[in-house]
Amino acid sequence: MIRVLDENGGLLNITNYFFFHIYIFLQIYCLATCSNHYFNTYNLFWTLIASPLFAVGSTAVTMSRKLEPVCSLSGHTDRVWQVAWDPAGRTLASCSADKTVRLWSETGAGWSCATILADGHERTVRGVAFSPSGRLLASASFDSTAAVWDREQAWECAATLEGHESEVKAVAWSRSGKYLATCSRDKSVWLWELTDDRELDFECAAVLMAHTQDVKRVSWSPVEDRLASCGYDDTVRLYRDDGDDWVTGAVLKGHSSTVWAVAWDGAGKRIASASDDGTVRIWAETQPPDQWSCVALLSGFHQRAVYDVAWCPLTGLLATACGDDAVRVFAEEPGAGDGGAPAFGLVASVPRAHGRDVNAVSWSPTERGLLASAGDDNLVKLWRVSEE
Amino acid sequence: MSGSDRLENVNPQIHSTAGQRPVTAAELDNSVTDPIDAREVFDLVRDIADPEHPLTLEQLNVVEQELIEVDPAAGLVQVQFTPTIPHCSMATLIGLSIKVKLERSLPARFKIDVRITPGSHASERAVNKQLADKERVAAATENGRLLEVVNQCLVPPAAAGGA
Repeated sequence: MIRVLDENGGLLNITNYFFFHIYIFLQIYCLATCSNHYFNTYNLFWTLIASPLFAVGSTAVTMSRKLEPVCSLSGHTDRVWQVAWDPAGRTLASCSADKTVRLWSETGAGWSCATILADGHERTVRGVAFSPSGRLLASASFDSTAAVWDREQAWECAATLEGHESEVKAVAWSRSGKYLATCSRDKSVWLWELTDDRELDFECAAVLMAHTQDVKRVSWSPVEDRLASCGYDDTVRLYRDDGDDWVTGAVLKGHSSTVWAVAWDGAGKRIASASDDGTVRIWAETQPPDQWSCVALLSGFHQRAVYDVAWCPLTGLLATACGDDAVRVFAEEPGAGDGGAPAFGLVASVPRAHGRDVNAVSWSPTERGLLASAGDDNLVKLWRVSEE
Repeated sequence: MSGSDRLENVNPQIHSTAGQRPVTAAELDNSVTDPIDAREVFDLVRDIADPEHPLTLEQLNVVEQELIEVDPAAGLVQVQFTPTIPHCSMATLIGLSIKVKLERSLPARFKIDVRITPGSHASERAVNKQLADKERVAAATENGRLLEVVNQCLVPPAAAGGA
């Protein structure tokens, strides 16, 4: 049984075979005729069939919180692709098609740009991530390299990781800082092991070729050495160290188009995935080890592709970045979990958060409700979600 | 990939072209708001050169005003284009040229969706997915060689010296 929240926050249960048959019929119909992926089977099913029938007794969307603007940070001269916080929550990194990484920090006068890392990449910088110690910053670029920058050397570019054949799309550090994962349009995920953290030597520990198309994002579990990746083949894939080798585990299928981002919850038990199909899915390991299933579908909220999703470890709130220029915040409904199935409701949104597509969202790891976003309007913005 | 050795569509049908858009008094009046419409978008893409022939996309009926939808309030522009043959390997390049031209010409607030006219191409789904992927489009337009090919298509055939 899947439990889903519809547009109005109503809870829908597929328990009835009749509706299940309508759903299967629509799925076949859509496969045969539907070329517009924004209007996929699920949306069609919920909009036309399920939501009017199940609307009785549904709970309304409660916009119980506010997303207040804190500041808007300008400086990048082209679209900003991603933002990342350092673990202390004092430095925010942003990367851009202007080939630079900017580091922002708060001084007495508010947030401002403290450092520009301009000499590491020849093309767009697509992704950034701080190591768990906060000392190292990794960046991923369309120039097919990843770079590692060292805070202790005044943010000099301390290492360049070469190996991918084409654009590197994302970087992520494991919770211990021992591994750095990179992924690329060449369909591969590389795991780099930091073998000497004084000299900053990296060795390739594994090349994982599970995806059949570009890999858009990599994300490590916050509690164990377990990696998730997602991409243009519409799937999320999981990897773990079986003691001997890195092996590919579960394949999470369900999205009907590119999966742009994956995010773990604070406990490392669930994964949220954001897709070009305009939905967010929540996955849980229903049968360890490695039996995952989709336990919630956030459908009908986003008008266009969802480019990023972030799960706040402090508040449990889920934020999304969308191609419809909006930033949205979802909260898990308390006590909704019979059979462990969660339900999420939209609690805050800013329709014109950015002047163009929003590409990234990231929660502060130290300050409750502080959210950073980045967009095609060249801006980085900070928001504060009010407490309920 | 270039069609210089062997043309994929050797003898394409050439269609008549629309005339110049008449300029109305309201358009010249700065006090009247003049929202962007389908004809204006059509005027932006009609002279894009076909990568294979010294002809425009309009002359080959690859773009038609009827297949352009504009919602100025929502900031949406949707363009459908029709490759001349269902196996045209240039479809992605044509779509990319249309997309780049519109991104360069229209105000930044517009979302531009470029898709193949349903049923007109064998790899319709795959081409549409590529064109909708803004990261792939961004990487492609950062690639100097590919950008040069796109830029060549954006020079109208007449200006480039015709056949």
